[in-house]
Amino acid sequence: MFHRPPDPTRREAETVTVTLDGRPVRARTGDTVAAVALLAGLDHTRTNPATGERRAPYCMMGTCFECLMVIDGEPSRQACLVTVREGMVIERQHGAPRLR
Amino acid sequence: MPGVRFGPDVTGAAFCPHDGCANPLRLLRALHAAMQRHGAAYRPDAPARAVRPDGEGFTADTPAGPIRATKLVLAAGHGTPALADALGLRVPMRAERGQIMVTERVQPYVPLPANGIRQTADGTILLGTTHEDVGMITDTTLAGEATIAANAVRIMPDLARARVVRAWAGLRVLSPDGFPVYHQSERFPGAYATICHSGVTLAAVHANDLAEAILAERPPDTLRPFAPERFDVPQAA
Repeated sequence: MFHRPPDPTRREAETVTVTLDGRPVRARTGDTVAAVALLAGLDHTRTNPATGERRAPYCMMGTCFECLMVIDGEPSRQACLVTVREGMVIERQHGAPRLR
Repeated sequence: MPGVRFGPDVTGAAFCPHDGCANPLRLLRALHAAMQRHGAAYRPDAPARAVRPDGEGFTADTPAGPIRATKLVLAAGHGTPALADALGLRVPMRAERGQIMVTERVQPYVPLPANGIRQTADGTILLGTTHEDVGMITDTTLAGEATIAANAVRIMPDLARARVVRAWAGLRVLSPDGFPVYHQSERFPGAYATICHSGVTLAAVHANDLAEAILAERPPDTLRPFAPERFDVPQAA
């Protein structure tokens, strides 16, 4: 659904490997978790705790809170504000988070 | 509290089988519905700017015109003192600010309502509170919220994983000793004043016992200690 526009400088990008819902995914250094999830083809990144509706990153700038995901075990992180790191574990957030 | 992991500073707790919690918005809605089913007219268009005895009863001057009644109850919270003098009513009172924070919705975690930590039916967790003497200011403060958060996490460390989504402050309606004042005017016996915190906690008493006492024109023994005469004692130095 999403793809990265061609880079006119044709620079070779550095990459990291993250785990996205259990599978390894290569991501470009400097990308946000939300961008990685969309490029990996996820059609939703969480379900709404009240209605169960599927939700995905929308504003990509920290305002709408639609992109909440579980990152390295911590729930309700704003995926569009978190930059990927080598070995990061990213999971979709199903409904309301658990406190333990 | 099954399922709750307490912090190392928690060494004990008190349990009262009579404690519970109510959603204040739903309670208010229910009281309004019940009151109007009993024939009461709710007039949000007619705030009482002034009240006065008019010989046979009382008149409230409002932007929607005067409203007359044979009995009058002042229950205007912090607006009560400004209306009380004309009716010979005494309502010594002060404002105390309390701040509250609410978290995002999380899976059920807090099984019982506790003092300062309670989870609503929607899944949000309410965290409180502060007791601040700052006059009529309802601002929230970072220091107040930090105190609330630190206390909550000290008691239940897992709360650190819940995101705070909102904070607000309110002003408690308190008498000098913190207990309610129920007062019947001696000069104008049809006039009453009630001040209390909290009107949510005491809603059942006010809707039942207090309303019946005002209708019967004599307070039951249980309400008598709440007259303002209790403040007529010499102050210790």
